[in-house]
Amino acid sequence: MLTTKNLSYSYGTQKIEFPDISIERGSQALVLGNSGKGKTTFLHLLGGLMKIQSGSIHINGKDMAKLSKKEMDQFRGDHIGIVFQSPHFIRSISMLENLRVAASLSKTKVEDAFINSLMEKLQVTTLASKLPEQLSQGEKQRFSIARALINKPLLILADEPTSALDDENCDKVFELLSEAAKAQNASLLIVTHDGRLKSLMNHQIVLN
Amino acid sequence: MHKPLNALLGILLFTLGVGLVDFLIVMDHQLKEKFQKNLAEIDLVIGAKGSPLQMILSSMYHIDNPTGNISLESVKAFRNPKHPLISNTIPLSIGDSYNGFRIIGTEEKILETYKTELVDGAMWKEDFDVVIGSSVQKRLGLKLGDTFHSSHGFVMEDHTMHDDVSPFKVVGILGSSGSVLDQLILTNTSSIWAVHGIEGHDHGDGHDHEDEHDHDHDHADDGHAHDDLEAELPEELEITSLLVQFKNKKSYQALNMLRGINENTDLMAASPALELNRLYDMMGVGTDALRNLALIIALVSALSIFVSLFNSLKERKYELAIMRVMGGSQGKLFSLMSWEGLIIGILGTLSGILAAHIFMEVFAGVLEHKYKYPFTGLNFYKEEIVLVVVALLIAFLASVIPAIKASRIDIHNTLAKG
Repeated sequence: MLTTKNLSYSYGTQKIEFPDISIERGSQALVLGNSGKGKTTFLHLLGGLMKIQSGSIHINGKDMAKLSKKEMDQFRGDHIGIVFQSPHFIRSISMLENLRVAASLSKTKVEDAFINSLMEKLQVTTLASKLPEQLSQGEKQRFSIARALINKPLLILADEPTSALDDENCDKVFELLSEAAKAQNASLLIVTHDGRLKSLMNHQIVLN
Repeated sequence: MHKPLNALLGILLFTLGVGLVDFLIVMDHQLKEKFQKNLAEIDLVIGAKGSPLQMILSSMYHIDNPTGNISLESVKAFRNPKHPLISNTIPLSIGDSYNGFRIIGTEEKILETYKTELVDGAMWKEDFDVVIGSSVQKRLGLKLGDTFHSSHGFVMEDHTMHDDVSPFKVVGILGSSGSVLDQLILTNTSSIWAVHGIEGHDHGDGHDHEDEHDHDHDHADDGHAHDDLEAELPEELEITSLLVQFKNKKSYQALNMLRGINENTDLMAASPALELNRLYDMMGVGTDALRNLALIIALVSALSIFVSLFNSLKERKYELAIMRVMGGSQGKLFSLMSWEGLIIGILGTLSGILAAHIFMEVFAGVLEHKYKYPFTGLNFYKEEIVLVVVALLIAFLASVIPAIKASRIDIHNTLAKG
């Protein structure tokens, strides 16, 4: 489903080389590495948020390097869901509207019933009408998982989804993320240096 | 927009700029329309020497004081039906009023000239019979058979009342023509002479009947020693001005007549069309100043849209990046951002135009009294379409740079730091 080959990225003279990975549809993996090892860069490359300099990424058989900027935007909107370390939302509209905007940006047809079931699964239904600033970090993170799942993606990428959360929320958020990915048969790749997650996932990739 | 006050400020400024420009457009349009309508194909006005513009304003538009009087004898030649150049003349005697409406001594054919007809009653048959314009009727609520005393000058005061002579009697009411006749009280020329104690020809015997009012015949008349003038000859009769229509407007002699009168006689002649253009030029200075002010306001409002969008870029970079992550293309972000400016522009433009028209409608009454024409806020003009297009273009241009910046946001750098 997701394979990379000889992927590397240079910031000026500093070159980061990434290990080749291969992830099956519906499987889950943890990408570990200390700060400065290029975890975020790796994730952004996989998510098509930055241009591939050398090497290749194939998602669902598609060569990411060959997509135009616009095609990349569309592909990401349709097939990839991303959860960030600090969840950002459009501040002027409610959480439910935020999810609807996310749905509208993707080509995937999304019904309100699906949005509701997502919110239910993530236990945030009662917060739907709240504005982003009224939510706690943990609550926001749940919504950002809902947002990442809204386009029924093939691949979910999560960048340090738990490092800003306390232990209790960390376990809960990971569990929800993992469950939701399984429920949709989506592949899940979590990039983190959060040691708390190590014991929870078997497939681990280490960046050096 | 996350900051409603910023948006409100932008809309308000836009409203102000568009509203001011639009008000000028509407005002300009209606003034010119009315001025033009009241030209009534009058080619020349002849009156006493003074300011030609003042004579035109007083004789054609009835908004200024007359320049003085001229003897009927001095314009006799122009009134000769066999005059080779002139097809029609209308004498005007101006100087009295009733409740702020001017009483004009003239001839019946003025109705035809201004394309106005009676809707009630009949034309005057005797002295002191008057025919009133539609606005006069509406404002003063006069009916056929009502009588009133005129006052000297255009302001109604006790000591200027002509209450020592027989009162005027309403015998006819004119239909509304949108011309200045709507605002006038018309009578024959000899009535005006009679009021001022001058014995003209064809003087009716209206002195004694219809006298339901108590006349204070002992009231001292200030300045109108009519008893002494009773003996004077008809040659001394005066009018205020003469409206002239040419047989052929473009004939060489007709065009020269104006200069001939001004150079060779004690009279003054002026062309309404020329004086009107002079007036437009003079008004133009004021209008231009206002228009420039409106333009500056419009630019400031554009700047406010620009600044608030630009500032919001910094605050919203995460939102924008997230929208890109979720599949929003650069074009999508560009259009989102420029729509935000455009919406401010659209709201501001709409409310500006609305405000201008409401303002015009509210002040129509004040203006009507001052300029003697009805104004309305309900008419819309072609120029306003141009105004809308230009206003929206300005709003769009103000948001183009922020929109481009929004579309070029670096997702990786933004989110890697967030």
